[in-house]
Amino acid sequence: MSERRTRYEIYWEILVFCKTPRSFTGIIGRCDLNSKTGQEYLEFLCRKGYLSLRKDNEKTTYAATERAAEYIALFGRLYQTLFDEIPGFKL
Amino acid sequence: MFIVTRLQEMAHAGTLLLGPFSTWSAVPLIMVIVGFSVAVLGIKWIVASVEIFSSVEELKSAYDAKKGEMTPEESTGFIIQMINQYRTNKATIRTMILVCTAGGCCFLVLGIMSSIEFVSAGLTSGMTTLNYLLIPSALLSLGIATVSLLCSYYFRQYASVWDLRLSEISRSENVLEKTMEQDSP
Repeated sequence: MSERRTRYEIYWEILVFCKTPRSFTGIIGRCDLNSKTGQEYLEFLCRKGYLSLRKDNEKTTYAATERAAEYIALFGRLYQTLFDEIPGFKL
Repeated sequence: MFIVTRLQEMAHAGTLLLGPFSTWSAVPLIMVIVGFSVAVLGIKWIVASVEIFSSVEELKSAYDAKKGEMTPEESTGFIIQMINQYRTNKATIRTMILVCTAGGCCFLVLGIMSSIEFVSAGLTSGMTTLNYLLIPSALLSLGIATVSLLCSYYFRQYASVWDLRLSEISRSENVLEKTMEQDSP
């Protein structure tokens, strides 16, 4: 599954899913990632400021930041354009 | 049917026992092997088509169920799913285009040959009566040829639209990459 997606698509999936704080296990399960690549993606998004790490008691969760909302909006616009501007396949 | 008929003919002629080691008797056996291989390929082609169409249908029904009440994120999610579906099936679709074109051309030639045979049968006999028994096989071959070539045409159109989208995605990735670089804290 993950080989078929570009890393930007995976970033988008993670950020949309983390609109509400999510655990590491929840994210890799939902986004169909293995723990190694999942960790890499999450570290990258945290480093870029798209995700924030929250530690409540013993539970660690990831939540999308305001910067993530900009990325999600830009990504959505670019992908919607593919269907708005390129004529579709018709029989 | 063809394979069985050929095997029966070969068994009667005694060439089946001689097998491929006798020079001229090897030809019918090769034809049987080719025929069998083509039949297996045909079944594989049908299975591949069913798989592709069912995955498209599954996604379409999920889209139709949510149509009109979708959030922008859900809509983008569907786009990503469709793109991934094309990426997964791309190699199979390319093969299907080639198989449909090749199969269509073979059946077209077969249909034309049957049509010519139908006319020549009338001409060589020197009579006005024609061999009407050849009409169904000619029509069947021409029909299959038309369907195969149409399939190939529509698969080609479908692939060209999606390839264009994939190339646009590569451009979008550059925009996203630049944005992420600019956004670095």
